[in-house]
Amino acid sequence: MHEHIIKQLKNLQLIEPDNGYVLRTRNLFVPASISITTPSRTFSILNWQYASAFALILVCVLAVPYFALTPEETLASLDTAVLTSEIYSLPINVQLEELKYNETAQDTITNAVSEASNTDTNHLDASLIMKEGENIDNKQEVDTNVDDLLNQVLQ
Amino acid sequence: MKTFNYITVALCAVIVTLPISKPSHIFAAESTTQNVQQTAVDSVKEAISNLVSAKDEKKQIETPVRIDTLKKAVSLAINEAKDLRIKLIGLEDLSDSYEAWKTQKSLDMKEMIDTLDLFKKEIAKIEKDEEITDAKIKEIGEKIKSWRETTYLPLSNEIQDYFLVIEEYKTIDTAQNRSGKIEADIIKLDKRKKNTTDLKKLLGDANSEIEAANKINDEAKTLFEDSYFPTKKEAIVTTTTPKISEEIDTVSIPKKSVRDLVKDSSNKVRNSYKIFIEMSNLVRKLLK
Repeated sequence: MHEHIIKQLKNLQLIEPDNGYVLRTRNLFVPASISITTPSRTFSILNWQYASAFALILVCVLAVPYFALTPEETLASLDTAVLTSEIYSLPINVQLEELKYNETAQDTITNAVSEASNTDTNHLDASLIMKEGENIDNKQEVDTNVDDLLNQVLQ
Repeated sequence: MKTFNYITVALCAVIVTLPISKPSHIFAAESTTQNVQQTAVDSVKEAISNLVSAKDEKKQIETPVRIDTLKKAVSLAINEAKDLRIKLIGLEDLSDSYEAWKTQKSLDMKEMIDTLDLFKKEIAKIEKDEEITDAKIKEIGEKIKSWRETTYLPLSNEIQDYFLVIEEYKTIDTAQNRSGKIEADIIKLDKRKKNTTDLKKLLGDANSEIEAANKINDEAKTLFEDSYFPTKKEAIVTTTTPKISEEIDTVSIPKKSVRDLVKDSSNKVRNSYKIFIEMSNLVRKLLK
């Protein structure tokens, strides 16, 4: 029983007033002319000032890209990106593309069948003559170059 | 930001304008299937080129190259016919007369594919023959050519014409929906006390283009039915007697085909989109 009381008293010995209470009671006893600085409180005000300044800077920094990157206000129905995408996917455009391919395929089939069954004119194919014509043109170019060189030598 | 917007608008204008001259190039939607088909076409083109060279140089391989070219051409024709038939069968929500037309054309296409298969077998038979002669190849080649010109291509064109008409109607629907959405947004602008006079005028112009597109496509559909629906054609022939002035008109002005009319209609829709893009530019300035 005694031991318990002693233990309680020891615990009570450790009790201290908090900082606020100390400051308030000290101010009661000390005359008003004597100023006692309260470092923790001064630091707290400064802390708020810094925090406010930092927050203001942060808002400014974030606001710049926000205003720069936010698209100008427009109507959803007249958005150019939407209109472009819609033009691309108009059903008739897809159909015309298919038709163009189909016409090419049919022309190719007709040409192939005509060419395979044609045994009369083996040397009059247009593509063949054009190809040969291109070769002659190239040859002429070479010949002209040779002529130019000869002329230069003779001068 | 301003420059970016101007570039976007300019790009849109180019996208809308270019298709009028070459629509297919701009709206090329290349899928894997199309690539496979393109490879098949290229393969036939290569065979033609080889055959032309072999014939010119009178090479020993000339006859086998002829056979190879024919085989590749017929294979491509079979694939094309099958694709067209599948697309035809896939048509949905048709009226009774069009459903009947679809069923008939699907059966006709099946016959075409069967005939092409027979040609393929005939070519294979000639190829196996120990005495392959150019005369035999010429005979089968001319048979295929004549059959395609008189039987296959008219049917294929008929089906393609119908696809064009229905796809143009879908296109007009898309444009009308767009116009409706824009109209609703203009009402919102009115509530915000913005000056929408120019926007309303432009929307009116765009709507006129869409209406004209619809009218021209209706003409295309009527022409399609007159040309390909036998009962309707007969009815018109028996009930109407053209006046002399009408006869003169038909002689002097060449009649437009279904394809010509559909293309005219789609150009009108493109004009409406040009106006929408102009409006898009205008509304941006209005909201500044």
